[in-house]
Amino acid sequence: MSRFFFRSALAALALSVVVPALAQETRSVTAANGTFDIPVAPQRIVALNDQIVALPLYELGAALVGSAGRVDAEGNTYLRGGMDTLGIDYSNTDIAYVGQFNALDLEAIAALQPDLIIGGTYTDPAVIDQLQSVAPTLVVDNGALGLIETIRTLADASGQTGNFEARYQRYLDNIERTKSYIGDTSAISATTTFMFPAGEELWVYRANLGAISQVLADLGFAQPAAVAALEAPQAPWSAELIQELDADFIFGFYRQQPDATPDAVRAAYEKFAPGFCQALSACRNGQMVLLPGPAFGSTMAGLDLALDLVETHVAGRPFIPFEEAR
Amino acid sequence: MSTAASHWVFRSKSERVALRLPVRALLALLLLALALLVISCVSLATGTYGVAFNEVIDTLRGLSVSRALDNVVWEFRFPRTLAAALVGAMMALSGAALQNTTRNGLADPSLVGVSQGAALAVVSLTVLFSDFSGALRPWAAFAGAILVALAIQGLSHTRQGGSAIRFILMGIGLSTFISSITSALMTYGDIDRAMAALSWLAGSINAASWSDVWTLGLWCAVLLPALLAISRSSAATRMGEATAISLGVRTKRIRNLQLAIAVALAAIATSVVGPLGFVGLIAPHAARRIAPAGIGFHLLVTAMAGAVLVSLADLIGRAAFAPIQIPAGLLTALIGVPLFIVLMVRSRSATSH
Amino acid sequence: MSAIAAPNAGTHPVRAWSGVPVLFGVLLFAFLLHIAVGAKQLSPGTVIAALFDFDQTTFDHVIVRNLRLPRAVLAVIVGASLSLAGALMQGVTRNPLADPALLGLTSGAAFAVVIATSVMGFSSMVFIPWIAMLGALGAALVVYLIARLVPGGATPLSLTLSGAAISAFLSAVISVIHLLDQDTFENLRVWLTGGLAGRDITLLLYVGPPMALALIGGVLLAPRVTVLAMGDEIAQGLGVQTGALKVQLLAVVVVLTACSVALAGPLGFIGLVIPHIVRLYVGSDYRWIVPYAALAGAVYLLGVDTIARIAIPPREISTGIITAMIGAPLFIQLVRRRTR
Repeated sequence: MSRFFFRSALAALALSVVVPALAQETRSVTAANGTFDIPVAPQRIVALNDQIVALPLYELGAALVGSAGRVDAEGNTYLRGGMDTLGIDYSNTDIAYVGQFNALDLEAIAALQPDLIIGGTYTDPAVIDQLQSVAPTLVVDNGALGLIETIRTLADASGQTGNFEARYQRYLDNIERTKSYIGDTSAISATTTFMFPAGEELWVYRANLGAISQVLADLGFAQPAAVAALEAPQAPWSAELIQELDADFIFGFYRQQPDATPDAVRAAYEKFAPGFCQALSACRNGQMVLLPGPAFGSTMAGLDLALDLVETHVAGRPFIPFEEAR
Repeated sequence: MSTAASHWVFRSKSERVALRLPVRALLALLLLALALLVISCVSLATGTYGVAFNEVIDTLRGLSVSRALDNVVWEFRFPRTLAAALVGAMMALSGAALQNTTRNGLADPSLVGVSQGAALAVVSLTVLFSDFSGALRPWAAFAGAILVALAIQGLSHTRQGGSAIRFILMGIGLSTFISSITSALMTYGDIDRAMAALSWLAGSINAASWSDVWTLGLWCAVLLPALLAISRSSAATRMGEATAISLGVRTKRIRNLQLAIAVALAAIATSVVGPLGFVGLIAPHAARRIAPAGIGFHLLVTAMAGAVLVSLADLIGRAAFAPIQIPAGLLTALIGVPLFIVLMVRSRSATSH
Repeated sequence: MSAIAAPNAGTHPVRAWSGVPVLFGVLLFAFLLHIAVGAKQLSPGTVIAALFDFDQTTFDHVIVRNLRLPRAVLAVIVGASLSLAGALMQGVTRNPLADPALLGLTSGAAFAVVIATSVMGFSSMVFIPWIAMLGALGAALVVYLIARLVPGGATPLSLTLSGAAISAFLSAVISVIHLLDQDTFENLRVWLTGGLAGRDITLLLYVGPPMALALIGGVLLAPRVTVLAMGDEIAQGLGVQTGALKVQLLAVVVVLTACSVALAGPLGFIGLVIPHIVRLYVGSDYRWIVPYAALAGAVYLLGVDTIARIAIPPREISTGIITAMIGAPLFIQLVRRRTR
């Protein structure tokens, strides 16, 4: 610990000499919390959320020096989704831990001497106000923007727009290719569900479940009437109404956690609604698919993965179309 | 304790103004102030941003060691340290005033619903309105706290007047009701927005800014003298209503005034840092044990004790499990509950009121 | 505590007797209603067929048989247990505000389960009821001990306050654990709100027998609680061994509360509110209060859970949140009426 202090003190000293010398060019950007002057090419960015901000920034090649993270049962800090999406964590990158997204350590952020800080609507507004004294702190409202606009905003702020647009164009081309394999995508329906590992609650997503929601919408898939009628982007679903979710494909998710393995998640569905597989034609026909966690993440890599997986299951093999029972 | 030796007595020449200073209370006040100073110094020198103490001193003297250090010390640690002390003092004073008005030694802003009212207001505005800004938060919290306090006061009032136990029980009942609405909002509201309210809900001082310090300081400057000013009258009410009426004090008005000040103190403190449990409960009792004194001095010692408690909780919270930060609100509960129990067991008057 | 009026004296034996079949009828109705209605509308014919001519391949039958029926059974058992536990506690402590949740038992049990699963890594559910019992017993003893040590003894106020303090302490510890270990805790989030959805009915195999014993024990001990509620001296004068009786009653209360928490998470207010409503009708005789409270508790939780399931389909509301939302105003009304 003392070595950490010593090192960071040294780093701070070194930087205090360097930073003023690099009088950066600035430009003005508008975020959810106002208009700010930010460096044209930020060199030291701190992300206030790992999954939603740090991972997309990192994969676009932005200069990320710090990120909020999580603490596991052994007390080790980690970037949620980092290892399984991009193969990164605090241990194998130069990203420093700056607290949990809802318990940020302001001093750790200040110690990194960032030139740009990016958070979201989940960040305590008082923390945002305080951080403005360290560096321009932008709030990116990912819920309102949607996945693509969120990543585009992050790319713009971090000076990686070119990188993003190239990857996005490639993704759109892939969407077109997949569509051409499938044919009339609007004739295919799909539901996205999220099961809690212990089987207490099932959440159904009409939109906003990261990459998978984006991919399904971009492909032009339809949704069951009950899901399409949801006012909110998501809702906890009654087990009794699980048949309203039936579609050509039903997607669920497993994660890299000991209690959220594919087997555990399947068992959770069974516990939540006994006999669910018999009740759902998608499941009976082997068209209820559990996807890996990064497929509902908020990264370009997640988009590519989700698209590949959907393509494999929908175009890469024959499937039995869903027919309304009665 | 009113023997000549335990007081220094100052009199003006005409003997129209007499000042009796209790030695023990004065000493206690001094010691607590010293403790607060030490804790504040440690607090200013402690943090994730590791720097030598003398660099902190240099920064405080106005010598700029580095821009980042200036920022850490002046914008983060300094307001945080001051806010912790101010919030502690205000919660403690609120508790003391509540205990006086309800004539119940176990009253506390979080036991009578003020904290929960503030929490509900902040959470519902944060979760339901997308453009709810941080600047409005103190006002929302304040309004929520006042409304709940009024509701409890109204509900516990009968034709025969309000009784202390009803007040407490109404507080518990209404608090639970309000908490269930808050948890419904947290569970079923927009998850991102609910998250933004989380650290405030846990009672965290980590984001206290200078404007918070000004808000707290100004209100403290207004409310503390007001509380002291009616301390003489409130001392009379503390002896029981019959005595007070015979002393010619309009008990009702004083009680209401005191209650208003108590709620205002707690509401303002809560609005800035979130619900901080048990400080208001402990500090007045601690003050009484450390140095029995007249009501005026008692309030000062109480305020100082509260400041010490919250400053300590904040310091432990950010240093003990670093880099993980434990909000001060949890630590005040962890430290406060055992103290509360000791006080309850040892107090003569806890249940007799 | 003179501030709280003594329960109305006088029981009408005739009225008391006649109430039992009525309440059983209401219970049956509430039970059938719970099974008959839900997020999905099913015809009475389907419901009856599901009960008597179960076809595993028809999901509508599965809904009735495997989703609604276990949940209704759970509601009956948990509602009856918590309410009966509350009634006994009110009698033993002579505290009209006693309640497993208010006096810290519920949070003690919840705390023990959280510690066991998140800190010590227990995952086998066989142990969970026992861990919950240990936690509830520990919290009960601590709360009672503190209240006893307070000058003036275990009065309603000292018990309520020490219960509130212990609950506050335990929830602060739970929050700290949350901050230190986020992932494990997220899995406990739903459990901690308390409710009947998605519960593991197989747990009944483990907790059913002790709960049944405790329920029977509670009803059998009830007549002596009436004597106990008059005060220790009177009870001893009437030849009741108050010490032994209190230990037996504590065991009953702890088993009922802990098993309920293991089954449905921390559910508040049932044990507090229901016995009081019952008391308005049957007076102060625990011989009647205890069985009535058990029946009425079952009815209350069945009703609350029915509301939670049908209020805003396709969503479900957590039963724990509604229990408090409906229970708290009742509590406030009670305090207004009962304290002068």
